[in-house]
Formats: sequence, C-alpha cells, structure tokens
Amino acid sequence: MPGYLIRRLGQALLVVAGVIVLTFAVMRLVPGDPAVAYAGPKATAAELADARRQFGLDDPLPVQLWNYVRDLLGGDWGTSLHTRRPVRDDLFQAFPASLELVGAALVVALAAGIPLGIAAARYKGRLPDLSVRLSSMLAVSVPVFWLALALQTVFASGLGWFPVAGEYDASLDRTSPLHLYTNVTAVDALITGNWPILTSTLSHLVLPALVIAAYPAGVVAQMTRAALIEESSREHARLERALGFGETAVLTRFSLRPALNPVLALIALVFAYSIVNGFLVEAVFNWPGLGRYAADSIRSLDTPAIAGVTLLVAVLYVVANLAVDLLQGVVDPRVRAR
Amino acid sequence: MTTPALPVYRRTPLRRLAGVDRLAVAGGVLLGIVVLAALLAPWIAPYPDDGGSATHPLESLLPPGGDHWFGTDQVGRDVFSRVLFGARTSLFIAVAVLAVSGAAGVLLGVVAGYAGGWARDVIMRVTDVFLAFPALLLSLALAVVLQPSVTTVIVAIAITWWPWYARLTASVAASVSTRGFVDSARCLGVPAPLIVLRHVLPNSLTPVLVQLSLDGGGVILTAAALSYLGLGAHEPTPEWGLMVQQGQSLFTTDWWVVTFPGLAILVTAFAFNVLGEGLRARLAR
Amino acid sequence: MNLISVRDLVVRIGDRVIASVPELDVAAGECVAIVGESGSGKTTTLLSTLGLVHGADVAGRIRVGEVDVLTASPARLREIRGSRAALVVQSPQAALNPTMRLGTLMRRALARHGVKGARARERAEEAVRAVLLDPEILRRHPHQVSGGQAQRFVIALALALGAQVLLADEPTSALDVTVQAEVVAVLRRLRDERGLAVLLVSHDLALVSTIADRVVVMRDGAVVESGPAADVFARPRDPYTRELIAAVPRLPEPEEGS
Repeated sequence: MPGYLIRRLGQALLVVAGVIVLTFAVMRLVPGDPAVAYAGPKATAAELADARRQFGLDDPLPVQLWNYVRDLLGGDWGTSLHTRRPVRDDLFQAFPASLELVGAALVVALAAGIPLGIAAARYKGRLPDLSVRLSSMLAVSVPVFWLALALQTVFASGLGWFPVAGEYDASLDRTSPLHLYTNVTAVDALITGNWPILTSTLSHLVLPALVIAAYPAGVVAQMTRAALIEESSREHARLERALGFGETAVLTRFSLRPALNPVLALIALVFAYSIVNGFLVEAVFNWPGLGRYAADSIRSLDTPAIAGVTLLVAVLYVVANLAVDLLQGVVDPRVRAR
Repeated sequence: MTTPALPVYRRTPLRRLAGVDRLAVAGGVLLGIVVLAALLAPWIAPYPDDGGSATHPLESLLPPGGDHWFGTDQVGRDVFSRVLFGARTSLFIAVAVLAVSGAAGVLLGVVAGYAGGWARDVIMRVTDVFLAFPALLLSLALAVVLQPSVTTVIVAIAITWWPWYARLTASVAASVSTRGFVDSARCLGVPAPLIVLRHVLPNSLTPVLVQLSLDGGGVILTAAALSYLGLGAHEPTPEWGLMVQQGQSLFTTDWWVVTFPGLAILVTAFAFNVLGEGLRARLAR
Repeated sequence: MNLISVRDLVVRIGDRVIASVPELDVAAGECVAIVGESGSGKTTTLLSTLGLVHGADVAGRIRVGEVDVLTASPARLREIRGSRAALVVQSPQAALNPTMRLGTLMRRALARHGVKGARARERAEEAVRAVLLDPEILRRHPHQVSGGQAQRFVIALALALGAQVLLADEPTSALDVTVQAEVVAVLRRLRDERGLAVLLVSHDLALVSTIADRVVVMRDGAVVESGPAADVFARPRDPYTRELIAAVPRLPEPEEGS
C-alpha cells in the first residue's frame, strides 16, 4: 500500500505540473495585450510600460513560466483585470457557491441514479430496464443551458414555485445576517441555525441543482446497471442464490457494494465535468459561483482570472481522482490488500 | 472445466441480440433523419433564405402555425428552416472534430501502443494532463483566446478530445502488438512504420469507431454550449446553441424561439448516444 | 429415505437436450457421484435440483425432501435453497463475496432462513468448528483465507443452515492436492457422522472412488451407466466408462464395504 500510495501521489503531482504548463501556454496565446486590458485604452505609454513590467510581460517565456509557477506556489494567482482583486480571493469567494450547487446536484444524481440502475438491472431486458436506459440516455443528451432556461421559465417565472435566480433572498442579509465559516451558504446557515437563509438557499438550489444533476444521474444509472449486471453474473452470486437469496437481495445486499467501485470512480470524472456544466447553469440562474465569475472574465478577456478558474478546476479533477483511488481501498478490501 | 458454456444466470443470447439490435437500429434511424435534414435543408426548408441573413421585420415572432411550423424569430425568420440549416452546422462541427481528434488520437495511440517504453510513457502522461481539463473548460479557455467562429469551436474541442482516442488506441494497439502475426512481421524485417500501418492500425480501429459514435453527442453538446456562450458561431450562421442564446430573453413570451433549437440539440445528441450505446453493447459481447 | 429423487429429467436449450436423467436418487448418509467430461450435463443435473438452471427448459420431476422443485413457488424454492440442499461450489474463493466478511455472509444467510441473534452466533461457530476451522475465520475477508479454508467455510454454511443434502459441484478441482484430501475427508465425515446426503459432480475418478457409494456416468447429456461404485469401477459395462477409468493414471482400490 505505501508504495502504491507514493506512486499514485507522484503521478498526480506530475499531472498537476503539466496542467500548470498547459494553462500557461493557452493563456500566452491571448491575441489582446493584457497590459492594455489592465491599464485601459486611454493609458499613456508610460502607464503601459508600467503595467507590462508589473505583469512581467517583457521577460522571455521560460522566465515568465518560472515566475508564474513560483507565484502560484507562493499563493499569488495574479490580479483579476476586471475585479482588480487577487484572483485567489475571487476564487475563494466564488468556489464555495459552485461546490454547494454541484454537491447538491451530485447528491440528487446518486439518490436517483443508483436506485434506477438497480431497478434496470433487476428487470433486465424488460420494460423498466428499457425505460431507465432510454431516460438516462436522454438525460446525458440534454443541453444544460436549454434545460436551465426551460425549467426557469416554467417553474420559476411561470408557476412561481421556485425563485427565478440568485443564491438566497438578499433582503435576508438585513433581517438575519449570515456568519460565514465555510463560505458554503447552506452549510453556514445550518451550523449557525439561520433558518430563514437556509430555507431560502434550499429553495433557490432546487432548479439549478436538478438541471446539473441530469447528466450525472444518467451516467450513474447506466454505470450502476452495467456494474450490477456484471457483478450478479459472477460466481459469488451463484452461491448467494443457492443460499436462498432472491434476485433483489443478490443485487442490493451482495452485488451493490462491489459494483459501486466503478460508479465511485465515475463520480470523480463527473464532478469536474459538472462544475463546468454548472458554469452554464450558473449563468442562467445568476448563481454567484465560478461560472458567473468565468463568464464575467470571458467577457472582459481577463486572462489571469480565466487561468485561475481553469487551473482550479483541473487541479480539482486530479485531486478528486486521487481521492477516489484511495477511497476504493475502503470500499473494496481487495484493493487495500494490494 | 465443468463450468460449461451453460447459459446459467444469463438470458438467451438470441434475445439479447434482438434487444441490442433494436437500440442500435433506432439510434441509426434517428441519426439518419437528422443527416437527411442537414443534406436536404436547401430543398425541404420552406424558407431557404431564412437560413442566412434574410429579415422580415413585419413577420417577427409569429407563433407556430400553418405557414411557420416552429414560428418565427425576432427578425421574422422561419425557425423551422433555421433549425434544418442548423443541422448542417452541428453535424459539420461533429464530423470535423471527430475526424481531426480521432485521426490524431489514433496515430499517437498506435505509436504509443506499438513502441511501448518511454514513448508510451511520454504520450500517456501528456494525455493525462489534457484529460484533467473537462472538454468544455479547455475549449472555453481556448475559445476565449482565439476569435469566436465555427473553426474556433472545432479547433478548441478537437484539442480537448484527442487524448481519449489516444488512450483507447494505445491499450488496444499494445495488445495487438503482442500477437503472433506482428511478431512474425518483425522477425521478417518488415520496417516498423509498415507493421504499424498494415497490421496494428487496422486491428485497433473497431473500439475507436464505436467510441466515435458514442462521442458525437458530447461534441454536439459542447459545441452548442460554446456558441451559447458567444464563443462560437455568430449571426447569421444558423447554429442551435446560438439560436437559444439569442432567444433566451424571449422564453417567457415567445417560447418557440428557444424551444425548437434546444429540442434539435437534444434529439441529435440522443441519436448519437443511442446508436453508440447499441454498438458498444454489441461489441462488448 | 431418499432426500433427492429425480425422475425423467430432461433439460433443453431450444431443441438441444443438454441433460437427460431417467432416474437418480440420493438417500441420507449416501454419496452419489455423477461423473463425465465437461459438457456431459452433470453440472446441469446438479443445479436443476435447486431450480438454478436459467435460460433452459426443465421437464420431469425433481423432489428435494417432500418439495417438488419444478412446481414449487419461487418463494418456496428460495426457502429450501441452503436450508434443505446446499451448494458446495467449484471455486470457493471466487464464490465468496469479496467485499464481505465470512461472518457477515453467514449471519445474513442464517437470518434469511429465520435464525437470528445469539442462536445464529452459536450455530455459526458450531458449524465452523464442525469443519475444523477456527471461529476467528468469521472475521476475515475471502482474500484472507486459503482455498481449502474457503471450501470448508462453504460447507459450514450448509451445516449452519441445517441442510441435509450437499450438492458438490467439482468441490476440489480448484484446490491443491493436499487440500483436496482435507475437503474430501470433511465431506466423508459429514456423510458418515451426520447422515448427510451428498450428490457429487466430478470428472476426477480418483476422487470419486474414495467417497462415492454409487456412480452415475454421463456423456453428451445422457446417462450411459450407473450402479454401485465398486461394481462400476471393477466391471465397467459401457465402453465410455472403461475409457474414463483407463484415463486415470492410478486408480486406488475401492474401499471395503463402501
């Protein structure tokens, strides 16, 4: 296990290094001059030169890359051109909101996807199976921004069941101000017992979380189904049947746990994907997360901010993958023994 | 030894085959309809000029009816005609991305799989790095630094897509390379590039082809998302994602402007997914 | 008294008959072996006694105790599986759920058949001791036990559930030679001391000759010869049986009186 752990960690670090280089390379492709974007179109030559020196744009590329890496490691992720604040602070503020949204979506996706996958495996080849397969394929085929608009129009603007946009009712900031600990609004509201903000946040969460949940729910259902079918055709299932357990028990009480391994691994992939999918949904529901920040950055060609978002999500993906690999040891004792 | 080829705990192969084939066929038919719509758009669209920059200010935002099945948009163009022409844009992007990333990925994958050793390590670590970026994220970053256009969308998505095929091909090619006929070719002194072209490549392609059809839906969705964000096609190109973006403020009052292009994306991505799923299930047996 | 009784069993896939057995009885305290090559239909015959052959048509009459397997309700069938007749599998390590401690499987199986709490614990430990295992093994995962231990645990499952019939499907073929002897000794002791009925399926005539009271020889789905083990081994009538016996390098003499 320690050898495996070290190898796995080394691999992850290597990928993170590559991610940094690639992000740097992409950002250096920017056609516009970041100095102009920062100093403004009416800047004097002196102000421009100043800005260039400030961003180190006069140095050769390898030196710039070295400086970039050094700054990143030192916690300096650059200064946003449009908020004029350190990118790290911006991300620190926006990320928890995205995490809240995607976290809620993944909970919904697992809660819906796993039972649907079980039902499909249980009635393989019959109507429940076909309908689960088709609806999960539909779920992964739906354009999220369109689904977001549709649900918003019907259930918020139209029927008025849910709020149209935002994270919670801003007027509550006056009547019951929220103390921040984790920066995740729902969690902070829960631990400080701030019920007005908690209920408001939850009702604001419903629609965007459902939209983001569609894709992961679809893939989780499909993966659960496939893994269960494979697991329940293994030798151990034969013994379990011979011990008097019915099909449903073989699936849920015996096959589900070993089958969850591939599903877990999938969640790591889907997590990063959902954060990015969430960008589109956040734009529609005006959710104060990374997506809205990214959209603003894109509009103002805010290179450091875009680099920050890109880097953060890619590193998140690497970390999530690593976490899953280690978690699998907990779920499956065979991996632990290796 | 005694666990014979008994169909114990399994459905009969016959039924499975039939079920799988139905799925693949359904996906194929659905995709065929979309392809036909794209090919025949100039002839079957009731208002072919509306695929471009035509405007009819007097007919703007008409609800769906006999003259305009899907209604008209804010400048009076027939939404049905634009949806038909939009199929051309989307399928063109999908085919271009899959061709470019498929070719690049297969090439690198075959080299990695056949050569093994450090070449494989380097290529695989590079794919690791690219795979850490969700496709839409890297496309987003790329599309920002390049100028918004259909070409940008294709380039941006292709750059994020090839590692999947490189991965897949490398693992298949590695196992093909250990087979007898490759060894004997090597012993006969056949040059490596020729072995790769003649023997390894053709035998590694099937899984990639299935994956390509599975990925068509993903490419269409990513392309539509980029255009929706204003990083892809621009007016007057008929592009579904762009049509949704332009009509989104009208959703509550004039639902048809947004609904039909969105449905078109959904149907096309769904067709790819159903077809790919059917093919994969067949291949897996 | 016959604990298993099979009459006119025919198992078909489509038009192909994969197993046809006119008559097969196993009484308490008796071991009957079905021998034959792979594809001879012997495993199918064994599994059909528990109604565990899927995707094929099974006709005839199969009784386990007083239960008619082919007409019993699915719920009744699940009740007798394990508690009346229990399977002893071919590759015990693969047959144990990799994510589950042996004790958990044991507890769930007992609970499935209505034994819970302290009584379940008692039964489990007693059964495990009866196959000469340390009850400590109940705390382990399958990958932490040897093949022989795993197989003896599978037999312990049957004992704990109170099965009177053991359906052993190539119980030793995945095990080392020394371990094989261990498992056979356990089976023989249970037959002799507890009066269990054993239906053994094997292609290993050397093994069969050490434990079987009666032998049924199958080939291509049909029974070609059957009778007391001593007779069949000493005076095989069917040419196929002779072939099988000739293929065994050194067949030990059948035991006296068995």
